[in-house]
Amino acid sequence: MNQASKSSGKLNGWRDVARGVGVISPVLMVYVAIGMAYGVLAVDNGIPPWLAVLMSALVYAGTAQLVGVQMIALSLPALSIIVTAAVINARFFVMASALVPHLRQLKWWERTLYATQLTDATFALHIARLPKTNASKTEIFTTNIVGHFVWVGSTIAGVVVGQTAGNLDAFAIDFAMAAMFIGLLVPLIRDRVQVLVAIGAAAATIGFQAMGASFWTILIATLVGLLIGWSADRWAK
Amino acid sequence: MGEVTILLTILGMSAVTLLIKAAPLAILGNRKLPRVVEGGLKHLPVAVLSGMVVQLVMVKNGALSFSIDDVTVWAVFPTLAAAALTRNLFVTIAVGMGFVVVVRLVAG
Repeated sequence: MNQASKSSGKLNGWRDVARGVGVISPVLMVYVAIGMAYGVLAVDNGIPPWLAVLMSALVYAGTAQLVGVQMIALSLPALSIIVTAAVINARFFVMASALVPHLRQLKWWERTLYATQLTDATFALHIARLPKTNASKTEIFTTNIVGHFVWVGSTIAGVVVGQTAGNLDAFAIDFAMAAMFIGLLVPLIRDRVQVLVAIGAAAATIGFQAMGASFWTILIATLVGLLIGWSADRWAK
Repeated sequence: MGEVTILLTILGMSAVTLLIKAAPLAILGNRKLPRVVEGGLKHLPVAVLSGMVVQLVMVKNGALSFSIDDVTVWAVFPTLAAAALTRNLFVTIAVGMGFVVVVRLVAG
């Protein structure tokens, strides 16, 4: 009896690993494309290869990294680069807050580990999946770890390609992230309020970008979208 | 910029990023969020993803730009269609990137 349950536990473990891989797999080709593009850009901008890879491992946030290496190349003050990264990544504070109710089963150090591997994609995947399924810790962390490893691995590939003068412009790398976000976004839109939120946030992005909000744009436009959704929900009631 | 300065910059970037990502999960932990906040956060995925799509497509080199010659602007439409019809992330990404690659090949 004991042994049977133990071996079925082991089977469940592998099934959860497979599920975790399944959840992240569609976005991996985007991680490879952007990770490589980042690696190429970094070495082209004179960042030592090992530091480019270290940034992927530690910062693990595409936009902040792409902006960061370009600012480093311009020899801008370190403090301004760090502040810029904080502003670009401020949206993750809101995302992590939204995930809190769905990660109650994790211990505090597991939640902290989760936070180190939080990205736009894993947020969108998990916020859609966790409320509907009781995903195991194994599944959740498999998704996160595979994403992180592929990101760092693609950076290493990009660093190598970049040094041997590769040109990745011919591919659709400049659209990869947008395609991924559209694919994550559309299935989440289920009612009229959410259509309104999507249009509102899109319009706010254009508006605040035009007004010069720069790296603040996404955070502000997101909050505008939340306000629209919250008001529409109250009004609909 | 010297190697040590770059290293310190990267460590600083990762410290602030980790602080931002971990603070809510480490501090709020098991506490319940106020209903107003939870009601607002319900719309977060749609709001943030929609904003980022627009920014990725319409902001080039830090400036708002909209050009009919820009294939990534046109690519939004088949990608949206693929997403709405299939609701499959893999297919959506493949259609979107495929469209851009094919148009660039054809247009030279």
